[in-house]
Amino acid sequence: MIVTASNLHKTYGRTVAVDDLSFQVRPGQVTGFLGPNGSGKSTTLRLMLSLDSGRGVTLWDGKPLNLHAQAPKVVGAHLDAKFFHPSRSARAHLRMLAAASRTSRARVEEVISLMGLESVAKKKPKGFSLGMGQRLGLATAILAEPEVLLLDEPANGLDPQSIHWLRDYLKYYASQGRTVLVSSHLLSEMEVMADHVVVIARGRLLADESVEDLVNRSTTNDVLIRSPRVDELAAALTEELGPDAVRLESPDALAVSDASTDRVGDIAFRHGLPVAELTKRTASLEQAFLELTESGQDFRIGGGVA
Amino acid sequence: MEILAFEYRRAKSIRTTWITSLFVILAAAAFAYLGTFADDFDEGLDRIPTTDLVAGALLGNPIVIVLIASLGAMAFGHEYRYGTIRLTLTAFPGRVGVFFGKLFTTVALTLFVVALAAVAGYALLVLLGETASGGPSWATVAWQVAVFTLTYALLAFSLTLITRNHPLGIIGPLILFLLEQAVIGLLGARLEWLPSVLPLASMQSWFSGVDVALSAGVWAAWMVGLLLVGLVLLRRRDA
Repeated sequence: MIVTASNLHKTYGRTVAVDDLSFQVRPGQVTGFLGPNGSGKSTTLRLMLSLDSGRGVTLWDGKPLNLHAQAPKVVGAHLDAKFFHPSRSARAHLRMLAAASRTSRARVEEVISLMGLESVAKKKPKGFSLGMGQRLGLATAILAEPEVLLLDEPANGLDPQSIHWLRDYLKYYASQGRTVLVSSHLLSEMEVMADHVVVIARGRLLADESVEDLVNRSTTNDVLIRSPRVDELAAALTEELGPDAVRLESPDALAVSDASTDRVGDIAFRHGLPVAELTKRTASLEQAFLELTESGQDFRIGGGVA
Repeated sequence: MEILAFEYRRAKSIRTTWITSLFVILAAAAFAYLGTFADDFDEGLDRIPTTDLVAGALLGNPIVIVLIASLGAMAFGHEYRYGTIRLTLTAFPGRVGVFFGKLFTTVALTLFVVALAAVAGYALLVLLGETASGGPSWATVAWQVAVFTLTYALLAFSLTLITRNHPLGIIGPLILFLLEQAVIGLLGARLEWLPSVLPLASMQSWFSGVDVALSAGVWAAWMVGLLLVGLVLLRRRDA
C-alpha cells in the first residue's frame, strides 16, 4: 500500500511545526523518518493519522483513512510506550483493540508470544519498564496485521537483543510487500534497517531518497592517501583534479574527494610517488544526516538556539 | 458495530467500572433500607411506600450522583488521562462514530447498573419485610430514575469531553447540582423565571408535573447542547 502525505501543515500559535510537507511511503521497504529533536516528526505522524488537526491530506492507497472500512487493517501505529490504562492488563488491552478489527483471540495470543509478553500478559502495565511498554505498543501496532506500520521511536528503551529482533522483524514485515515507516534517533540502527529515508528539519522536507543515495551525496565520501612525499603528491593531484578536490588531512596524508581509489592511485603511480596507504572512506548515515540537518536544526547542544 | 464491541471491552476490562457499579448497587440498597427508619422515628405516620423508598435511594442522593457521574466520565476520561484516545481514534478515524459509540455504551451501562441497583434495593426491602403499598407507580419510579441518572451520567460525559479532565467530569455534575441550589436560593425570589431555564431545576419541575413540556424541553436542550459542544470539540481538537 502506498501512503501519500500531501502538503501537511501544522502550527502551534505562531510556530510552524510542519510546513507543507509532502512525501510518499512505498511498500516493500522500510522507510526511516529522520529529523533533529523538535523537527516535527511526531506531529507529522499524528497529522498522517488525522489525530492532530491541520492542513493537508494523507491518502492510504488513494483514500483517506476514514474511508477505509477497517482502519486497523490499513495502519497499525505505535506512537508512545505509555499509551495504556495502568490497571488494564496487557492481554485485556490487546483484546480490546482486537475488537476494533474483529481480530481473533488466537492472534492476540500469537502477538503476545511474538513480543515476549507471556510472563506479563496478566499484569497491569503500570509497573512496566519503558522497554516492556514499547513491546506492548508494538504488539498493538501489528495486532491486526495492517498493510502499513507507523512507528515513532520504537527502539527507545529496548535492550540490544530486542533492537536486533525489531530490525529483523520490520525488514521481514516490509519484505511481505507491506509498508513500514519508522522514526528514530538511532541512526546506526536506521542505517542497517531502512532502505529509504525521509529527512525533515523545522517541519520541512530535506531529503526523500534511498539510504545509499543520501550517503553517497555526503561530502565525507573521499579517498585517503598517505605518502612520505605529500607535497609533491598534493601538487600532482591538484593539477589533475583541481584545487577543491584535495585537502591536507595530516602532515603525511591527503583527503581527495570526487575521485575513485583507482584514479588517485593511478595519478600517484604516473608521477612516480610512493604510496603508504590508499583507502576509500564512506560516510555513515549519521554523517550524511548531520550534514543535511546542520542548517535546519532549531536547537543544538552547546550551540544555543539557532 | 466494531466500536460497540471495542467499547464493551474497554468498559469491562477496567476494575473501576465494576467497583463503581457495585457501589451504586450497594448505595441504593443501603439508602433504601435507611429510608425505612424515617417512619420508625415518627410512629404517627404510616410506613413509607416501597416505591418511595427505592426512588428516594436513587433520586437526589449526592453519593449516587457522584457514582453515576464516575460511570459517565469514564468513557472519555480514562482515554484522555492515559493517552489511549490516540489508539482509539487511530482504530476508528471517524470521530462521530466514536462519540456515538461511547454515548450508547454510557447510556446502556448507566441504565443497566441503575436497574440492578433498584432491584437490589427492592430485594433488600422484601427480605427485611419492609414493604408497603401506595406511593408512585413502578413505571413512574422507573422513568424518573432513568432520567435522573442519565442526566448526571451525560453531564459527566459531556464535561469530561469538553474539559478533557477526568476528575472535573466526576465532580462537575455534583458542583452543578449544588450551584443550582445556591443560585436559586439566592436569586430565585427576584428572578422567578430562573429555575425554569436551569437544567436540574427543569428536571425537577418535569418530575413534579409542572409545565411538563417546557421543563422537559429545557432539560433536553441542555443535555443535547452540552453533548453537541463535546462532539464539536472532539472533531476539531487534537487528540
